[in-house]
Amino acid sequence: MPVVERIFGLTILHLVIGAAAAGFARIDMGSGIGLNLLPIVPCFALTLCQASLLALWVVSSKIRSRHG
Amino acid sequence: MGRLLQNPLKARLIGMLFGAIYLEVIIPFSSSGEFLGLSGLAVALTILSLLAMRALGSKVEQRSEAMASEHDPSEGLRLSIGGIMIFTAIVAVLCTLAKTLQARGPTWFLLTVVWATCFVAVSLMCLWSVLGKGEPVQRALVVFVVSPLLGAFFAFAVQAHKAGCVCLLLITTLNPAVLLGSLCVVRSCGYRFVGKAAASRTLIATLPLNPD
Repeated sequence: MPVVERIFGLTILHLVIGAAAAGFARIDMGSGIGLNLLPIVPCFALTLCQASLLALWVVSSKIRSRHG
Repeated sequence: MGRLLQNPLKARLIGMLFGAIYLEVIIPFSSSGEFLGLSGLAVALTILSLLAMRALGSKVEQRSEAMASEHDPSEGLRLSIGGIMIFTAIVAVLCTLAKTLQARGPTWFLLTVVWATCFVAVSLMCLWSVLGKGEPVQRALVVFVVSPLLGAFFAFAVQAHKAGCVCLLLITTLNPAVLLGSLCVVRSCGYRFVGKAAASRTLIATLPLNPD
């Protein structure tokens, strides 16, 4: 698979999973067995991972202009 | 807008802005909004760290498959006296910071800064682990040990309750797992950390040999 498609696929995957995790975090698990904070775990982990990838892209990416 | 995107610097700034806003919106959407600013601060601190490393001569750049493997000698994880001393110093600083946080009473801003700093440290370790020279597996194991330790440190510093501790430990375990997986895709595209010496070697290797 070409490099651009791989990176684009990773970006789309992160957007989709991030949105799903944000939706999952809204679920109320109840406080009976101490799992009330569990739904926010994937959302926080994914968001902070995406923050790192965004920073890496900002510092390291090469954007080609139309004039080369 | 099209003209703006033709300028690489402006395009990156616009991308960063949109990305940071998206990340800021996602966390308050999922929780009560008490962590506002966490992801933005994490982005800013990671960018500053990567720019500082770039200024010191280390940067992430794309290379061809052959060149990437040529500069990838299999290098085991080595422990040096200096490394152990640095690790001990970091643990001491973290313990002092935790005690200070406990004594002063944690404020929202201080907690956000400390937690974002922990995540930035884990992110940089993940970058070193996957995009650095040599086999990433051993280094990934180190990241999987250090990251939950930082989560435990944070839980201790804020005197989190039992459910909070479990939540922090899970977040600090899942975060490097996702990041390492994503960085493996980046690595498969040929991106590697290049130090100052390696960069100059590459420059010499690509110089034309024609005497004219």
